Amino acid sequence: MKKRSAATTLLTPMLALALALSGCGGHNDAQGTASGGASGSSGAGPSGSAAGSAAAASSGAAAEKVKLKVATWAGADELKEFEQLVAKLNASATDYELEVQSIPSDYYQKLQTMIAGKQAPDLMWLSQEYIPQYASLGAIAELDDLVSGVDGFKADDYFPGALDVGKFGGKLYALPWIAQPYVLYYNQDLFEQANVPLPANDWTWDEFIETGKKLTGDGQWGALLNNIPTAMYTWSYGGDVFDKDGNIKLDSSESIQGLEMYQKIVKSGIAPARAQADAMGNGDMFKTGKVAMFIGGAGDDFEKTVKFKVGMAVPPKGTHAVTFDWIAGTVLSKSTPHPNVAAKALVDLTNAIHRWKVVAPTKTGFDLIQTSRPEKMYAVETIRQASEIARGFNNQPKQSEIDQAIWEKLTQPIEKGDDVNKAVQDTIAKFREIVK
Amino acid sequence: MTGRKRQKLRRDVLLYVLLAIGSLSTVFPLLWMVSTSFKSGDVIFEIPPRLLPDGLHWENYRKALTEIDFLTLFRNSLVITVLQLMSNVFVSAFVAFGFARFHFPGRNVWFLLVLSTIMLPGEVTMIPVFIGFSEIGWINSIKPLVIPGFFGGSPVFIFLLRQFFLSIPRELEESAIIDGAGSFRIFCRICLPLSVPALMTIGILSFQGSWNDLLGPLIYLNDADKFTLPLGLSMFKGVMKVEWGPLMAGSILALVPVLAVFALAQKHFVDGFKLSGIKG
Repeated sequence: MKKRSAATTLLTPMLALALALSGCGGHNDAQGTASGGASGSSGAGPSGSAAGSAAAASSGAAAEKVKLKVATWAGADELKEFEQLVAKLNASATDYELEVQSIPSDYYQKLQTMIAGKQAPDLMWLSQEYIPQYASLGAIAELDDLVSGVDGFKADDYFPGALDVGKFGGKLYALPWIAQPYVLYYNQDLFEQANVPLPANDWTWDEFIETGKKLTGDGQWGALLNNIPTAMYTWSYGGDVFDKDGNIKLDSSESIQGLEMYQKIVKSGIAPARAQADAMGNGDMFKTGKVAMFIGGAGDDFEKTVKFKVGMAVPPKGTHAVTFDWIAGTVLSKSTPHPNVAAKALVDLTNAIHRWKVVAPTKTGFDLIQTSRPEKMYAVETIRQASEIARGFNNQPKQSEIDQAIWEKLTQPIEKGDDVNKAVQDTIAKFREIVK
Repeated sequence: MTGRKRQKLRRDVLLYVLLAIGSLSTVFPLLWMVSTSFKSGDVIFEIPPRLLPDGLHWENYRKALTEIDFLTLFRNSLVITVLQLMSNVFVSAFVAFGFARFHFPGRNVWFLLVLSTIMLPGEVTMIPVFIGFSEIGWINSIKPLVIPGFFGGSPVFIFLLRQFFLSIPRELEESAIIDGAGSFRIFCRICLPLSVPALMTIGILSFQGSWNDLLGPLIYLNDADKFTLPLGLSMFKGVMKVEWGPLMAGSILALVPVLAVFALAQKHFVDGFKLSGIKG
C-alpha cells in the first residue's frame, strides 16, 4: 500500500489533464447534459437520467439488454467465482447484461488509462482510498439519486462506518461490497503455556503491552501490529489525521496521545522490527507461532491454516473503542450511457457480493458468515462488535500522496524513536505541500 | 617445476571455487523456483526455509494449467511475440541500413529524433497513445501491440544495428555495385548475411522482451481470452493473497520457451554482444 510505483504517481496528473482536456462531457449522450454544469449537480442529474431510463425502457422492452462492463482485480479462483455470480445475475436480469473485465495487474494504472481514453468500464471496483480522488476528478458518478429508487438498496442496512467511506463531500459515490474490520487474532496455545489470561474484548493498549511482555522472549514476540494504519492509534484517543471536512487534526492533543501510545508499544519491544517481520512475511510469523498476537482482517483464513488453537478479540482501545475497516466499493463511471440501468445493476451486483464475500458491510449480509465461513462461528460476536466500531479513513483526493507522507514523515520516525511532536509537525508541513 | 605446478593447481582451485559460487548464485533463484513449484501451500514460507519440496505436489502445475486458460494464453503470447520479433528484427534492420548508408538532408536530426524516443519514459506517452489507438478503434485487439512496429521498428535496435552496419567495409558494397546490385539487393545479400550475430542478439532480446511484457497487453487487451501469459500469471497474485505454488509452476512453464530459444541461440548471442564485425 505504502509503496507505489513511479508509474501510478506519474499517471494521476496525466489522468487529471486528460479529463480536463476532454471536458468530462461530450463522451456520452444520456449523461452529457447532466455533466455540462460545473458541478454536474443533482439538479440536472435526475432529469437527464430519467430521460435515459425512459428511452431504455421503451426501446429496451423488446430490444436487447444494455451491456455493461464491470472491472475487477479478482484473480484465478476468485475471478471464477465472481464470473459465476455475474452469470447468475445476468440470467435473472431483464434489462442489463454484465460482462466481467478482469484486470489482473496494475489495476489502477489500467483503469486510469481507460478513463482518460474514454473507454472506462461502466462499473469498477475501487479500494477506499481512491474514491475521493476519482470523484474529485469527475470520473465517477454521484449515486444518491440514481440508487435511491432502486429496489434492494437500503442505506440504513449498511454499517455506518462502511457507507461513510463511499461518500465524498457529502455525496455517495460508491457502494461498499466488503468491510473487513481488523481484529486481534491470538495463539491460544502460547497463552496457556505461559499461563497468561486471554485477551478480552474491552481491554486497553496498556493491558495489551503488559500481556505482550509476558509472551516475549526466546525468538518469540508478543504481538505483530504492522497491518495497523498509523491513523488508527489517533482514532483510539479520539483524534484523527483529517476530519470529515478535510481539516488537519493530526496535531490535536488526542492524536498526539495516540501516536505516543504507538511509540510506547514499539519501545516496549513486544513486536519484532518491521523490516524483520516484512522479510519473514507478517501473517506467516503468526502462522508459524513466532508471535502470539496478530492484528489482521476478520476474513483471514488462520482458522484453516494453523495447527494451534486460534482465538479472536476486538483490538485494544485507548479512550475510544475503534478499529480499522478494510473497505472496497463498486463505483459507476460518469460516462456510462445508461446510468439508471447501470445503477440497478450496481445495486444487484453489490447485494450479490454481500452474499459471497466475508465480511459484508451490511447488517443482513453479516449474518451470512455463519453459513459461508463456518470456521468463524466461534468469533461471530467479536466480529460483529468489531464491525460496529470499525471505520475507514477520511480519505482525501490526494490520499495516495498523503499515505506516502504519513509513512515517511510520521510512521518511520515514530518507530525510530524520534520526538512525536516533531514528526507530527514535519508531516503536517508535508501535507500542506501536497494539498496546496 | 613442481612448485609451479602446485601454484597453478592452487590458482585453478581458487578460480573454480569462485566460478562455482558465481554460477550457483545465478542458478539458485531458478532452482528455488523449481523447488517452490512442487511445494505444498504450508511449506513455502516455513521458517527455516526448506530447500527441497515436501514431496512432488503436481497439483500446482494442474492449477497453473486449469485455473487460468494456459494454452490460450500461451498461443496469444506466441502470436504477439512472433509478430513483434519480425518487425523488430527486419524493419529495424531496414531503417538502420538507411541511417548507416544513405546521405539525405537532416539525417543526423532524424537519427537524434529516433534516439530521443528512447529517453521518453513509457508512462508519459501511454495515455496519449492509448487515446490515439482508441480513436481508431484498435483497443481490445493486438493491433496496437504489433502493427506500429512494422512502421519503423524499435529505436534501440535501430541504434544497435546502425552501429553494426557502419562497421561493415564499404568496399564490399562497392564491388556489389560494380556487379550491378541495387541498394535493396545490397541490403539483402550483403548486409543482412554479414550481420547474423547482431540480428540474432536483437531477436533474442526482442523475444524475451515481448514474451515477458506485462504492461502493453495489460493496457490494450480487455477480454480474458485475448490475454497473454504474464497477464494470466499475475492472476495468482491477488490483492489479499498470492498463490505462490501455482504462480511458480506457471512461471516455469512460461519460462521453457525462453530457455529453449536461449539455449539454441546462445553462441550467436555472445558473438553479437562482442559485435566483432569483420576482420581484414
